[in-house]
Amino acid sequence: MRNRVKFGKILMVSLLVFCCLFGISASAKTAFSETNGIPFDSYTYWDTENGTKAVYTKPMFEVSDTLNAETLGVAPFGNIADISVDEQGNTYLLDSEKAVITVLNSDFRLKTQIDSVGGQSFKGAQGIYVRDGHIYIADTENARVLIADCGGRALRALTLPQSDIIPDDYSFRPIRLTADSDGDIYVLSEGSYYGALLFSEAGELLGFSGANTVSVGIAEAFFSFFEKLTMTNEKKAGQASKLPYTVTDLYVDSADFVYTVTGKTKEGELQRGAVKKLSPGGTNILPSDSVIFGEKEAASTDYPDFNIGAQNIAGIAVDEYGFFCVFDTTYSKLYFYDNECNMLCAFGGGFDSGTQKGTFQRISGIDMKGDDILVADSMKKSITVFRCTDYGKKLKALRKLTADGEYKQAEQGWKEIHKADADNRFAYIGLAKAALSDGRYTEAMRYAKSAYDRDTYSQAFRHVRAAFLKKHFLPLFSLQTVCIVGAVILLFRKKTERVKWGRIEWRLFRESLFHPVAAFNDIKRLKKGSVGIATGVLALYYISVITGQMFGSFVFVSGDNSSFNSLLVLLQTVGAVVLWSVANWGVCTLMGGIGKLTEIYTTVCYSLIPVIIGNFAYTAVTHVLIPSEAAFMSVITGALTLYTLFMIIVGTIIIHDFSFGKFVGSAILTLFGMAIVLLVGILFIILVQQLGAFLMTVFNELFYK
Amino acid sequence: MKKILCVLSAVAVALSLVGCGTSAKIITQPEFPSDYEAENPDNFTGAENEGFSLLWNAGKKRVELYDKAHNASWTYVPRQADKTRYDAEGYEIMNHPQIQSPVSISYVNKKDYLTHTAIGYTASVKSGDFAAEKLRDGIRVVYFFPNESISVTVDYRLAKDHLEISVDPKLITEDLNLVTEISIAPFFCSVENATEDSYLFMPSGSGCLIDADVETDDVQIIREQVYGGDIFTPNDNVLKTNTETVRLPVFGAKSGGSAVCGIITSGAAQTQICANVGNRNIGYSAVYPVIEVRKGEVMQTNGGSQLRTVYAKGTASEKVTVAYYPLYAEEADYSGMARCYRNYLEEKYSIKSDCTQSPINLEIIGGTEVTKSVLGIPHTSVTAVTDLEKTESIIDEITEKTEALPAVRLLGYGGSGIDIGKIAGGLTVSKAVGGEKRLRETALKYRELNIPLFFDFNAVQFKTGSSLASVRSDSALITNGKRAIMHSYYLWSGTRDLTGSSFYFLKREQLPKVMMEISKAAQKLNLSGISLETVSENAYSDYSSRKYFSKGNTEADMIRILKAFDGKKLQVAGCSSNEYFAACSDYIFEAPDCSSLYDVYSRDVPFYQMVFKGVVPISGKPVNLANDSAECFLKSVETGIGLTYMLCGDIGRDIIFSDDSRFYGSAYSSVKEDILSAAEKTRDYYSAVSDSRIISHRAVIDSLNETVFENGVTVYVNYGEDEVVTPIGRVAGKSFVYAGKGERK
Repeated sequence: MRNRVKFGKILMVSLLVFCCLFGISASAKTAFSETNGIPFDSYTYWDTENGTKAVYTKPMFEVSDTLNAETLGVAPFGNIADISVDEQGNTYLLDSEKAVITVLNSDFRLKTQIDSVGGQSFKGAQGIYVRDGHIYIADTENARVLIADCGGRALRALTLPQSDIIPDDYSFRPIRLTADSDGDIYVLSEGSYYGALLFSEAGELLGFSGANTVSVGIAEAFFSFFEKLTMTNEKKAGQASKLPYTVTDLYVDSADFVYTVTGKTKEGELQRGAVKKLSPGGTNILPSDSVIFGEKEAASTDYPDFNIGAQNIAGIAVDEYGFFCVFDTTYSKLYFYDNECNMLCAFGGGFDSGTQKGTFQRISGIDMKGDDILVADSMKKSITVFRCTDYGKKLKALRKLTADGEYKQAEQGWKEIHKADADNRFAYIGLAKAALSDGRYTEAMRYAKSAYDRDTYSQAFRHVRAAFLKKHFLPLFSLQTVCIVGAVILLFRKKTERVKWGRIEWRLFRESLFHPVAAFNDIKRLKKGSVGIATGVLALYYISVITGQMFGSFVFVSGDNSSFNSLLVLLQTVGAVVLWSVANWGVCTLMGGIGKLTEIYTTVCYSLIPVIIGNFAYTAVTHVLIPSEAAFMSVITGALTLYTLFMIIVGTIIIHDFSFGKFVGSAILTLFGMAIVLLVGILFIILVQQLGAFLMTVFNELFYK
Repeated sequence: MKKILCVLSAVAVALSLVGCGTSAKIITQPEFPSDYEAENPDNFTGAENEGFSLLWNAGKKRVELYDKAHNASWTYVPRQADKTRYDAEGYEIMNHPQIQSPVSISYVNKKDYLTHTAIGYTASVKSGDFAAEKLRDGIRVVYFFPNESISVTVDYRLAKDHLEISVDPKLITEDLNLVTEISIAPFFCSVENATEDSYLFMPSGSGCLIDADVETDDVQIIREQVYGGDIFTPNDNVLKTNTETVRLPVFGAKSGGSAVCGIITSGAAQTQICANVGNRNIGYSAVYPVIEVRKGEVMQTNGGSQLRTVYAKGTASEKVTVAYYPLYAEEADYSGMARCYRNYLEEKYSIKSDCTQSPINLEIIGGTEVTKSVLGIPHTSVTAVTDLEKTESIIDEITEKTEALPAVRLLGYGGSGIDIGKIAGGLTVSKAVGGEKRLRETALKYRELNIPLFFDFNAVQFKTGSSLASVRSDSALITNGKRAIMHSYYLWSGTRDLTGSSFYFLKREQLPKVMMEISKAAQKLNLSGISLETVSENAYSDYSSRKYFSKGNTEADMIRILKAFDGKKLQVAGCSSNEYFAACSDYIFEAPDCSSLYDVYSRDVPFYQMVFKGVVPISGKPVNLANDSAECFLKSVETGIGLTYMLCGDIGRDIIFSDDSRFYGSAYSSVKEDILSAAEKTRDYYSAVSDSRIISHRAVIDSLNETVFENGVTVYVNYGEDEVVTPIGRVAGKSFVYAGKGERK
């Protein structure tokens, strides 16, 4: 009885402490936003221990010019549908409404205007691409592709040929197109999920290219198969087949690789892999399958609170080094990536209502001119020229050097980048790699840790460890020998010598680890289980979990120490044990179990010893090994966890005098009971909150009215 | 026990019911006189002085300012519109009613709360529904809007060299409709579309010009609130993009050899400045003030299921007066407007132009709140990024190596670091940076060295209550009578993080008390100066009192507060200060250097700097945090204002994730060499222009600007990449050249 009261008190105190401390929250931050020369913030994302976080960065791009009909001295634009830049730096603007191509020279001065190709209008055309002196026009409304020379003289027109590979229901409405150095033309048709139509230079249809595939999970496939087996013919006929998402834009880089963009890759889920770089065989060779393009914090889903729809990555442009820029039509933003799909900078904005320079209302096309990015806006009827800043140029050059393995050569540059922008993650990575290649391993570890670069950290750590072992081989070897000899002596001592020390409670506690059946039987029979020792073990368990999180090596631990809340761990460890004990006691009493609350509690706590050993050992090992070497530790900790489970099962069976079957039943009911206790607890908290809100309302009424 | 509980419950319920039975007082306007008498008297002279006459023109039903010296007439109708004009087919071009309107009003119907607009000319003047009468020094015209049951009283007064137009919101009469906005003389400052050598001046940020060289079918109207946006309501949660603030309530229009400069001389905080650009239907582009008579805020109602605009329970209380200055010949450009405005400020604020300005200015960040795990429990506390010892070493090194005495602003040395905590940081010094005793020593040291040290206090925003200000009773209120709650922003979307922590604004009537406490604390700390960044750059409403509706009485209150600092041997610095604060303070840090960059804005001009340089010590934006540091450096040089650097000690990984953008380029070790190099490059130039005012400024070509100072120094700044030839010699790309008294450097 005394124990029960004590137990209740402990529970209450724990709950109170939790309630008082759980409300600790992060500090409020404000962003007083001034333009600083650009009406949007430039930022990038850090992949941290706690997921991704948007962080300010020095701008890679700034608005250098805004071109419109007035500044170019031409008749007002109707609808700028697309933009393309040729190898000479000439810019081609396609006005779909007025069926005019406006050609600007490399200084963005008007060069000429083309209003027909071979006397044929291309009103309603949605796409333009210029390469090797050829202008390719996706003449959407006329279901054809027009090819002209740079003077606007018609060379040929491509229409949809009769072919077996063209499905019957295929509608040819070209919206975007590109061409490679061989003159092969890739044409995207509106709403088509077959990918791009590939034409040879001579206009021969070669097939489809770059179609997305339908991904189906195992469970989904199983249920689909089962449904099909049980479905009537009528139902089958009425069922919509699952189709791949349509490609929304494509671009051929200087090495003739085709990049595709898919605005939406999965319904209601994270939009991963929106950008692909296709090999000639059609496989994606960009490490993009798991990459969320655009806003990572937005999770690419709707934001109804802000009336913001899901992201839609709708266009792409690629430069000669594989850096690419995509635009999103929801946030009206541009995202610049390196060839490893690392976002270097996000910029632009306007949420489709931008009235400031560098913000947009409806981005319709994008292309690159050297380091600069040109963005067409069909609503604002303007072209925005984003000039790559000196910082941006330097960052690009350094990323390229680092990707090429020229770490040392890039080091000074990375220092300058770090000086200009202490928040630049790639500077830390670059400096870490440079230090690693130069044999400055401790420095490399420091930078790699700052950049959350576990690979570089592990590589540097391997060298540091080897140096440490080499330097301290003799004392370490001696220590190891002493430990082994000591362990052997302890193991081979006579049994009588081993058990004579200490009180019987301690003896039973120790024996429970090696002989759980005998020990738990003695605990039950002799009533010598100790709540004190059990609580000590529980505390040790709690500490072992916290230690693992707080003092484990950076390369093993997931989660940020600064936001780590040990009170949550308290609930997950101590709370779970206490809850299990109480629920099990209640359930087993009803089921004829003879175990007392203190006995259940003691048994469960004693059973935690293997896990505790595993936790401490794992924490220690994280400072000695690197992840690739520590696979065996997972096996060991897994085995120790299973052993703990075994001990709990054995202990519960013994103290309640249950059969195994009855144990299973009681365990299920115990879990159910735990759920009920949690539910009641949550209801209680809600009730308290509502009472508080009511009292607050009464107070407000009295105070303000 | 039971009895006591019963009694307490009964009292609580009774009091609640009493509370429900009453509602906050609605301040009603005078009722619209449906039996009003219209009065269009014969021509008369309302007022007259040596240079001007203020006339009532009965034929045209309008007030006119006649300039005797220039034989020119000025009124709210564009001067060109008085001439008969014909289109290409020979038909007479009729003037758009908007350009003939003395006022335009926006109002909401009390029943459906839909917003409507009435143009003064069509709804009142044309039909003769007005009453004009002579005042002692001007003319009063009451414009009746019979269909809307609204009347607006406008006073036209003649001053020495300008016309003043005033609207007192308290004199507005209403009936079925509620007035929300009044546009004053919308086309007084206007230029004809598609004309050369004409532009509008908009005071966005540092100031900008809008060329009127094109006409479009698209309506391009930009509005910017004077002294910035008001407190945000919980539902105003989309920030979208960044903008600059209108710091100076001045605007203007230039057309050929004449110009007009408008200055809002009272009630500026209640106004917005609006630019209506290139509208083909109207034929003119104009810039004008709009009074926010009755503020409305979109809020959730019916348990959050509906959005509705909740209007303030009364109109703004402060009279709004706009002064229009005609300018001619060499005065008729933005340089002339700047001079005109500067003269006005000097007279209004009695500014003593004792201006010793430092070429190098430092803003040092002391600490920031960082969440760390203490024994596994997250704990938020101030972490020093630059403690006072490091601060001293930075100041000493800069002083020694640049041979200049920098002005220093200490940010985030208070109780909550650079973050929002208690009001004014609880008037304490963070122990993490060294504590009060250490600060006293530092302050004393630099007082003796004559280096101004400004300790920044946040006297406006607070997150937790203190003895100075309680969250419950000392927070400013929004239109529905609830506390104004502000949230931080998501960087990626610019939207509010409504789930994150929040902070509050100090009740306006508490500001004087808090400022006095700050003054006492500063004296106790031996500080030679204080910096009031949030006070200087924010103006906000507080719907706990009508006096503060629509940001009303901001200037008057702040002037009174700042005057109270006089005689306390305490210098006051502001940051990107609004007019009233800039004119009354001892130092201006971070003068705005660009506009909000709207598409219709043609080019930025350093109007703010042109007004205050040589009048109040002033420095530019931090060079090291600028998107383009070289350009930021040149912008400071162009107007001779001091260079500013934002500094802190070396920062760790925990600071990287701070939501404050000021850390990313401010590590002293990284910036030091740049400071020394900049100081070396500009030493002679700054000594040549240190206390001199700006006479004129112009863009010679696209990338080359010329500034002429009062003492004869002329500087050419080349923002382009290529070398350019100037009248005083060649200037390399991204560089400057200056000459004074025939000497080129």
